[in-house]
Amino acid sequence: MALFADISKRDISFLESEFLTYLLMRFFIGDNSVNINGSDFFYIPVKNIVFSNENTGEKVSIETETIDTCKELYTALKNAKSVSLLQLQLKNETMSIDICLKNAPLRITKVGAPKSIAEDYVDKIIERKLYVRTVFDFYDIMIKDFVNIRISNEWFDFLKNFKNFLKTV
Amino acid sequence: MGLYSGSLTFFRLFYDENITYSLSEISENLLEYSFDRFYDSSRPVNYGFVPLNYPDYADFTSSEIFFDNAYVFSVRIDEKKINKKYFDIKFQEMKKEFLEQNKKDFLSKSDKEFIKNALTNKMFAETLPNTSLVEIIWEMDERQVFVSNIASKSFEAVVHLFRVAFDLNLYRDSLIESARKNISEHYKIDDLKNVTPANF
Repeated sequence: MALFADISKRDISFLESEFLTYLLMRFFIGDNSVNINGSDFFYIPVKNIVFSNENTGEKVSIETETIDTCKELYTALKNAKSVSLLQLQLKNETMSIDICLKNAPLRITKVGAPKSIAEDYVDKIIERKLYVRTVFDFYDIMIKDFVNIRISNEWFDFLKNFKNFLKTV
Repeated sequence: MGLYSGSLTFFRLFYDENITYSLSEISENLLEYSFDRFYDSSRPVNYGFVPLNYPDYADFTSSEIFFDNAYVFSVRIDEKKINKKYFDIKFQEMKKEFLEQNKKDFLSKSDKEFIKNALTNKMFAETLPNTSLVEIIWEMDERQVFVSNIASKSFEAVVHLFRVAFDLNLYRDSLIESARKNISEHYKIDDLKNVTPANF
């Protein structure tokens, strides 16, 4: 009998919903800015968030126009539910891109970009391709941040900060 | 819908092979594995490369494929489906005709196979396909390919075409793969695989 479990075969799918929950928690503790290729962006969760409880299989879908003041959202977070779908807006001074992220498997399921201002066909493709790239750059930066914090002791401080925030609402 | 207008939803695929192609090599391969070259009306599924602005531009000789450090084109997938009930009815009819024409009392196993193949080919040739276009953004420097559809049929077609045309083995993005591509310290990925679920 093997003394140690084979790490490569461990189910680590829980990390996907942890990542989505991490994005939401970062927003609530006011750390929602991100630098993408030298340009400052920030993100805001919008409209629809789905929570799920891994142990019970229970799902809660919350639709709101006012994320900051939505009591159901805080209740779900207090009840140790993790995020399985997150809609957000990635913004900077000049643009706003709608993104929907889902878990199982983790993926970007929807991207809504601003209308292209270019008139020329080639310019239009280049501009819209840039939006796609911006979304994936954001995704990569967030995953990198998540991994770096998740494997360190900072993770526990981060969770503590968030729990303290929840006590205040 | 896609890169020109509408939803910009794309999924990411990676590959590990350290291969680079010039613009002319890519153009040649896209042409060689283009939809029209491979099309066979008797096949249930046909797929191949087409230009991004297809069908406005029907082939790669006149269309742009290089857009700001990325190669952009599409894959056309035609899939034909035959209704099983309809097939069974026609199969019975053909078996009767075969018996009469050949003045036989019964059909051997090979007779049945022959009729079945002939009917299948005939029906696939006569049936109109369901056509879909998958847009591709290939960033060679990053060894990544963005695709506008990742449903199993589309995924299989794109993976197969990249394998035969460019010797590249595409695989799906995931949290671990994204982390691996963006974090150079391998121990961090091992540490990540070792964490236990958080208690929020």
